[in-house]
Amino acid sequence: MRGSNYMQREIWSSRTGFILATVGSAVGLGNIWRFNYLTYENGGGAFLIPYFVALFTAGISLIILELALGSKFKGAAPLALKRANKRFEWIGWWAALSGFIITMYYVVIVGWALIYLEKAFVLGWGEDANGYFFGTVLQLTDSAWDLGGFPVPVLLGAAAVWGVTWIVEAKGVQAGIEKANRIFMPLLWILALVLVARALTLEGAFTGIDWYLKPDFNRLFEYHVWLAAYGQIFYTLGIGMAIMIAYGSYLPDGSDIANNALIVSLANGAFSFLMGFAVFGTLGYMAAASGQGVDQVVADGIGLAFVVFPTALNLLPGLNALTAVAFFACLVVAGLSSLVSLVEGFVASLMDKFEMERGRAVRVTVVFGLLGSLLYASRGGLYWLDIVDHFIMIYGLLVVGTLEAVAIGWIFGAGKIKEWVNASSDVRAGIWWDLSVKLIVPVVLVVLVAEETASNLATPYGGYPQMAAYLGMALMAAGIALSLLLSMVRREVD
Amino acid sequence: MLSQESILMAAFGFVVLYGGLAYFLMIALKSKRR
Repeated sequence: MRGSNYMQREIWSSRTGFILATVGSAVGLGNIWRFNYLTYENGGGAFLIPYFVALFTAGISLIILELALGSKFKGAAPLALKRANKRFEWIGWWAALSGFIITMYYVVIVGWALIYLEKAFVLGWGEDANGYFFGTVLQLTDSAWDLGGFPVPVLLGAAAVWGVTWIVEAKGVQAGIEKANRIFMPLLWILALVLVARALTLEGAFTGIDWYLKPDFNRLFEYHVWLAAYGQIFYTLGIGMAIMIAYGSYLPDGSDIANNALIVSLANGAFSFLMGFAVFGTLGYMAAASGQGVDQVVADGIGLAFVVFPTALNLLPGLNALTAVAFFACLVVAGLSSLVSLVEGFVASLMDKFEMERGRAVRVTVVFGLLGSLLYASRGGLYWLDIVDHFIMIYGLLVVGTLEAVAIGWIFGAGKIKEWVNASSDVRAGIWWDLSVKLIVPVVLVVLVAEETASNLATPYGGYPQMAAYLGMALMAAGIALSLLLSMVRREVD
Repeated sequence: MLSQESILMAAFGFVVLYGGLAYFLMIALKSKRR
C-alpha cells in the first residue's frame, strides 16, 4: 500500500484491535523491570499517589493529544505535525528518529531475553548468573571504546528479533500489528498471572511485597519523588516516539479518542502494578532463602532481568523451569509488542514523506535498524546502550513531549484539538485537558530536562569518560539536525 | 507478612487501576463508537 497521499490509508479493523495494539505498545520492558523498583525506591505504596496524579494530569492528556493529532490530520508524526503547522514537521521527525534510535538497542535487549528464554528450560545460566550474563552472553569488554567484535548468540538473537518485527510490520496494520497483538496481549497477561501466582505461593513473598508497597508518606514532600513519577509516566506510555500519532492516524473517522486513551493508560498501569507482585514476591523469597534483606537483593532494569531474577529462579523450591520460561517469555512478548509499534512510528513516517510502499519502507527500516543494532550487539555494546538510552530519554522523548505540548497547546491551539476529541469521544476532554497540555506538561518536562542536563554537566553520566558523554550529546544534536533537514525536503503532494 | 498499610495500598492501587479500567471499558462496551 502506498503512503497516505494518493492511496487510502490503512485503518484498524476494530476498536478491540486498536486497543490491544496500543496497550501492546505501551506495555514494555519498563513495566516489568522499572515501575516496581521506582515504587519501592520512592516511598512504596505512597508513590502510587504521585504516579496517579502524573497519570491523570499529564500522561492521559498527552496520549489524547497524540492520538488526536494522528486521527485529525491522518498522518504519522511528521505529516500530522506539518499539517498542523509547517514549522512543526521537524518535531515529528525528531519523534520518529528518537523511536528508531531506541528500536536499535531495544531489539538487542529483546534478543538477550530470547537467548535466556531458550536457556530457561534447563536454567542454562548456571550458578553464577552475573558471570553468565556479563561473561558468557555479552562477553563485555573493559571500556566503551573497545567494541571487541560480536558474541554470535547476541547477534543471532538481535537478527531473529528484527526478523519477527519485519514479518509483522510487512503485513501491515490489520494483518500484522493487530493480529500479532491479538496473540501477544492475552499471552502477556496470562504469563504475568502465572508469575504472580507462583510468587505468592513462595515463602517470604509477602515480606517482599511489603518492601514494594509499605508506604512512607513523608516521601511525598520530596520533589524528586514527584519528578520520578512524572518521568515514569512519560517513559511508560510511549509518548514522544511517534507511535501514538501513527496509531491514531489509522483510526477511522468518528473513533473514540479520550476513552480509548484512558483505557490504554489504565491498562498499562494495571500491568505494571501487577508485575510488581511477581517481582517483589520472588525477591522476597530470594532474600529469605539467601538470608539477606530484600534491600540487598533488589535491582531494576537489565540487572534485575538478567542477573537477579535468574539467581532467584535457581533458588526456587520447585517449578523453576516453568517460572523461568514464563518470566523470559513475558520479557520477549512485552518487548516485541512495543518494538512493533516503535518501528511502525518510523515506517509510517517514511511512507508518508517519501510515498513509499509499506514493504519498501519496512525493508529500509529493518536494514538500517539492523546496521545500527550492530553497535549494541558488540562486546562493548552495553556501554553504548546505557549512554544512548540515557540521552535519548531526555533529549528525545522529554524534549519532543515539551515541544508537542507547546506547539499544539499554545501555537496551533489546544481548543481545535479538544473540539476534535470531544466530537467523537464518550469521555469529554474538559478544562483539565487544556490545563495539562498548556501548563503542567511543559513545566514538568522543562524541569525534568533542566535537572538532567545540570546533573550531566556536573558529573559525566554513569562515570563514563567525558568523551563518551559528548558523543551521546553529539548523537542527539545530529538527530535534531537530521530532523530539520528532513522537514526541509519537499516531497508530499500537500 | 504483609503489613496492614501495605494491604491498604495494594487495595488502593487495584481499585484505581483495575476499577478505573473496568469503568471505562464498560463505557466502551455500551458505546457504538469505534
